[in-house]
Amino acid sequence: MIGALKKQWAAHRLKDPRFAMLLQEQNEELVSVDCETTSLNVRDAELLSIGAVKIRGQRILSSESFYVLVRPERKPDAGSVRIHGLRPRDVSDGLAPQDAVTRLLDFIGGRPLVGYYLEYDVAILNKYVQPLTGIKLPNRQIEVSGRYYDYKLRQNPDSNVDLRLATLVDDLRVPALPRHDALNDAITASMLYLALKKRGFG
Amino acid sequence: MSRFDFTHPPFTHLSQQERLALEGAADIVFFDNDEVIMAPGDSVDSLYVLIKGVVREMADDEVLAVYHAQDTFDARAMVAGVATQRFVVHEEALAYCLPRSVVMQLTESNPRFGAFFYASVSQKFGALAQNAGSRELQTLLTATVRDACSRLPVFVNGQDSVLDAARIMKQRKSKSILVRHRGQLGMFTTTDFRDTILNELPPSTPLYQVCHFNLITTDIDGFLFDALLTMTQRNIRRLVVMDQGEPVGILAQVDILSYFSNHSHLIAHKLERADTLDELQDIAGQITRLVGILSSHGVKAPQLGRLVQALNARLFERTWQLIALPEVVANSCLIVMGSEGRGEQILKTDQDNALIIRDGYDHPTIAGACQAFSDALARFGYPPCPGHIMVNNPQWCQHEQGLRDQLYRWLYLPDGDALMNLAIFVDAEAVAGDHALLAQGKHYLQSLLSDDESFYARFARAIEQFDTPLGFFAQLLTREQNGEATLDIKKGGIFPIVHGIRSLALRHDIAANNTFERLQRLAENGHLDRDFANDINETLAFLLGLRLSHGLAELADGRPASNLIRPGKLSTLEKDLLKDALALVKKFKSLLRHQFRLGAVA
Repeated sequence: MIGALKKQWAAHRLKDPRFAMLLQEQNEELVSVDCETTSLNVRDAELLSIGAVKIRGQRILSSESFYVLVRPERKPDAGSVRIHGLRPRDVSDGLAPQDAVTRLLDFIGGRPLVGYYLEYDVAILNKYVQPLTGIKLPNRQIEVSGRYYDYKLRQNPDSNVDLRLATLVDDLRVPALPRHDALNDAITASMLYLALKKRGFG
Repeated sequence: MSRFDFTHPPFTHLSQQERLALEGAADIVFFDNDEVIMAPGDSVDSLYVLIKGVVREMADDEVLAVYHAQDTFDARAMVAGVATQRFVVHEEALAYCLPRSVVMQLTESNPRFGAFFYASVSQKFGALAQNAGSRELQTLLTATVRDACSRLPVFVNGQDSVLDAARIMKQRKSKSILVRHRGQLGMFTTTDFRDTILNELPPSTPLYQVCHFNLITTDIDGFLFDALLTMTQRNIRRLVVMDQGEPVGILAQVDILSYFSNHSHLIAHKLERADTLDELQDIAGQITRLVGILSSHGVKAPQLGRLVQALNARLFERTWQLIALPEVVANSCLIVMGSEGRGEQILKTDQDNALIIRDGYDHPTIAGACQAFSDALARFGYPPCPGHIMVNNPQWCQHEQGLRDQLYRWLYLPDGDALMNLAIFVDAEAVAGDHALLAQGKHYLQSLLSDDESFYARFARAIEQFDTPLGFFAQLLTREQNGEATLDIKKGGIFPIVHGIRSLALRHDIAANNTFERLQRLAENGHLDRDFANDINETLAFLLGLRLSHGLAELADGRPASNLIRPGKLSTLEKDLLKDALALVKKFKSLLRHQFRLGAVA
């Protein structure tokens, strides 16, 4: 009921009918998404790259993956370059952020989103999505670390759950891909999701 | 940033660009326990490469193969577009799913990659051998001075004369000697010797006046590669090898070159000069190491077998000469039999040997020498033969007449072991003494054999002793997690081929001992179809190679080499080849059954 109202309200505020597909929820597929940014502070952070991959049933459609480099308005600071390895010159040929996000929205459509600390990625994306469409990302969000927390708590109710990515990767026995590449991180989150789904926490 | 691991066959054959294309087209699929990935009759549009987990290939309730991370399945189903076996997840599996269209396109554009999917049995075996080549460079770079240094230093005193040095160099067959003089170490070489003549120095000149004291040394555990570099840089041909500050040998450039080109040369050289059983024992150990090195260089099992046979023959001959009196050696014939006689014993698995003594000759030391010989071989690392087929067994140490009687009894009054003993004798090869004694024995055997078909049938029947087959895999994987399964490759594959070919060779009076040679002769004389003989040849070479690599791994682990291989540890390609090989063994057995009418023998 509330959901339906929210949706109507969002439809009302939508600036551009091009983005109406965001509101038509498609549940047969999910999209795992990850962004690399210039900083970890949502307020100053700018996009550097976006990786996304669809999950259909138990298959990760890495063959139809989404990956773009984004040209930030300010230069990335040296500390973050160390983490993601994207130097200013690497992203100088990237897309304008609005362009990149528009393409991402086309890719996502009405599919629910999956991610590890998705809240952060969505907050960054919303900085661009809102001016473009008039609304924030309306898609349902599946937080892998949250599902993992539920799973561990079910196993051992009084435990302290370690939510570091390396712990999840290890515990759920998914292969460790090279980190801090937006697409690899999106694929890792997908594998974590499938492993959790198999355990009943999808 | 590559996600896909391309470091295993067949993907090693792809170019960087092809890899990227393949990676771009790959999906990742997650399968739960006991999920059926494909079942017979399913249409198959992709090739799977396991990232994690375990998958088993099943035919009804029988496990045909087990796939682990990096394994690829199922090339056949993908090419055919339809599955013939059931693939079931044994332990949560994560797999890359490569679309058929992309893989097929790669098989067309990249012949080596394509060969993996299409090759006939013979060609597939070749692909495996090519793989081994990549390790060659590594061996070259990791060999140490210890591996190549064969020359014990000869020491003389600085006060000794040039003439003394010349005598010692001749006596010790050495081109360089070390000179000790007042706490210094110098070297005197044939080049220096030439210079003394040119300078018209008298032969009584003391060595310390003409030798070099600025020696360049290398550590015995240093890399051979570095030693070669030092020689090249300084333009010298010899280095003094030091072990904890003491000179222990001389490394010559030719040693390094021969090590890299033909290690066996070194061993043969040492055999020639060995004067004690201790030295021979050392050399016996080197033969095993040589096998490991050559095998990693991609030398195939059949060639290795012949090389080791030649070295072993020299080793046995030298040992026998050291132990037995010269007149005993001259009046007898030491023979090796079984796999050693065929030149197919690559690692030391057992000693099958015997002595034939000339009629009318006897010597009280013979029995003692035979015992000493068997003991020496055991010391060298040749385990005593379980069937006790050794010279220290009176049954295998006989006069010619005794041998003839025995052959007669084996043929006409066979008891339990008679046919097997006969089979072992058929492969006999002389290694020391009067080779004619063995030739006469074999000639006598041939004269006894008539056209009695029932004899050949009884002889060949041993191939039925062990079941071959593909069914073998059934015992492999139990549902427990770590139940490790093994397969006896000798009983299941090697023995039926070897004995089958031996039976055919005996039947058609072919004198060769080596199975590959016998095969060739059988094909030449039209007793075997040429293509079939080629397939048997490749199959046996593959099986021997597999046994060798397993045996080397076992030796490296400090266990004795066995015939047991662990299919779980094989790569998918090897597993495929093993299945093909065993299928061929089965086919060969049924041919023999038909030829020798084994069904009719009671």
